[in-house]
Amino acid sequence: MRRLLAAVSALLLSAGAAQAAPLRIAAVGPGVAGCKALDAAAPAGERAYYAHLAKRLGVDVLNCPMATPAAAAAALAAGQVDIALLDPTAFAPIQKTARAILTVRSEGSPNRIPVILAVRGSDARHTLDGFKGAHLALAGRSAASIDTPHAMLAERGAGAGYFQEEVDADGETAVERLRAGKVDAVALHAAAWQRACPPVAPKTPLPCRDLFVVIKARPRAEQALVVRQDMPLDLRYRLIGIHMALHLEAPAAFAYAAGFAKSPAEFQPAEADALTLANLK
Amino acid sequence: MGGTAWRWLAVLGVLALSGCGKPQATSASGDWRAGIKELKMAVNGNNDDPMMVRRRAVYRDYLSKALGVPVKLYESSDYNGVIQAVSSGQIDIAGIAGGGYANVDAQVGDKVAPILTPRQVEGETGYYSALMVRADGPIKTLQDMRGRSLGYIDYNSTSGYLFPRAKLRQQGIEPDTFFGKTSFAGAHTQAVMALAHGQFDGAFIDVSGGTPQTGFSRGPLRTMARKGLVDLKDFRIIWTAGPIPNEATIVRTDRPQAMIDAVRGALGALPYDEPELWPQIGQLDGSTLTAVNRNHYKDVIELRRAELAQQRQGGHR
Repeated sequence: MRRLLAAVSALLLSAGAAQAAPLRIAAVGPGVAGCKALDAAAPAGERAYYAHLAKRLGVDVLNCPMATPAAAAAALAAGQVDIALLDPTAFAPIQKTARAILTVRSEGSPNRIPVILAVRGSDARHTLDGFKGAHLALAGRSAASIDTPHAMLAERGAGAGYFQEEVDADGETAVERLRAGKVDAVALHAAAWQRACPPVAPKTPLPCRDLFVVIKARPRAEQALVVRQDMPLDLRYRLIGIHMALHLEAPAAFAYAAGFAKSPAEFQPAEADALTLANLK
Repeated sequence: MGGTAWRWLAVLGVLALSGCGKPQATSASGDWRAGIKELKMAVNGNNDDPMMVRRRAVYRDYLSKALGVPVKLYESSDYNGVIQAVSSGQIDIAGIAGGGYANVDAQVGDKVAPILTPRQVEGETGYYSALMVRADGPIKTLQDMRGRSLGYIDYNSTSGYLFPRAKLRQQGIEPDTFFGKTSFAGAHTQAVMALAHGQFDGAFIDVSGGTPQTGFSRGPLRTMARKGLVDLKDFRIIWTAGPIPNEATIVRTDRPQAMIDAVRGALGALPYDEPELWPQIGQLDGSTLTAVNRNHYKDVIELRRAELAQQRQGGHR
């Protein structure tokens, strides 16, 4: 009798383990509503992606067809799916309950680098609106120095022609020219800003306290994988870790999962507000 | 079967069934943390910037919170301490230079794997070894260093030993006979100070944040100059080797895969979720971590293999 009880207990306990909640992926496209195992006739890359996630997470991975990105966002917010690929428009209504976790970097593209728009602290203008037509210094000739600040500013309504632009050799030069009143603002990527205003500089304890940061933000992501904010940390980080290495460990799965991006190189983690125009803290 | 047994079975059945109707909360099956009291992470406590070692406590606090398991930091006074700790399985995670990882690979192979490396703003995932001399001296070219005293960093240092020696050999210079007296400074900071005080004529120092064409904006010399310990104008770079793959975060592969995924994800998310902490651990704002595997370090592994072979033939003094 004891053996029978032990066997039944073990069976039930193992059944409990197998009942770990599945991962439900919102998939925008045709299909019958409701989450189910991926169809065996699904493309090989998609099957590889689901199989890789299932193996690494130790749970079933279900496919949840959604008619539109907005429907996917609503289902995510309602707890009917666990992860969805969204754009800024679809994300906006659910940003209080959801967060971005991953974007895709394209081949040859820089990181999603924070950009700092700074002005003299004595300048009365402390918003972007006040600087139309002002002289702006960029620093350096690389994509990170020019294209990234341009992207961040254009998203906020300061596209081509908004500023009168000048390009300095480096951030230190741009900041010195700002101080000297030769330009009205500087737009530097975060590394150039950090070099010009190093946080550890004993001889000048607050090296840029005379300047005012109007904006510090990364260029907004065009699309991102989004989860609910209450997803357990361990699962969120495991999802991020699995996706970061996907191009190395499961290239076919990566080609499917990152296929929404142009020339995808790798998944990169993303800040919670990556699909918004929010300033970084 | 007696009545008591049936009642037990009924209770178990009810318990099992009751789980079926509960709302689903997403979770991965099997908690890898079960039975793990703490994660052990090794860092080299004698690295180029002593401040950085203290700042690595940031890693510990962030990871402990992110992973839900206490992370204990083990600091080793030299490169070899980290290598032996990870090779023997005493620790789970380590931050280590490519040359150090190559040494681990030579000892335990795929029992340890690199999972992350820094990717800088412009996309670089490497740095350089610079042969540095005093600017007020007569040495202006590599050939001027013939017979002169030289400071290496550590036998396990990539930029301070392994990589420049290999590159010199590729250029037809045998480092063991070309230079005069050679010795190990122990760390980049000490090598800069020894160079400044005339103990060496030249020393291999790591530099980053640029290329030989653009110049370099980062490295121990820059860090020391910012602190007022040295003046950049007192030093001259006469030769460089690189790029060298950036340091790796390595893990024991005999640990749960779920742990490895969580560590990669938590560290990868750090610059995005905790942007204020990122520069505090010595990382340049705007840089990030990118996933790597053994293949990323294959050249360094090959150089280490060649160095060991040379050593076995009695090539190193």
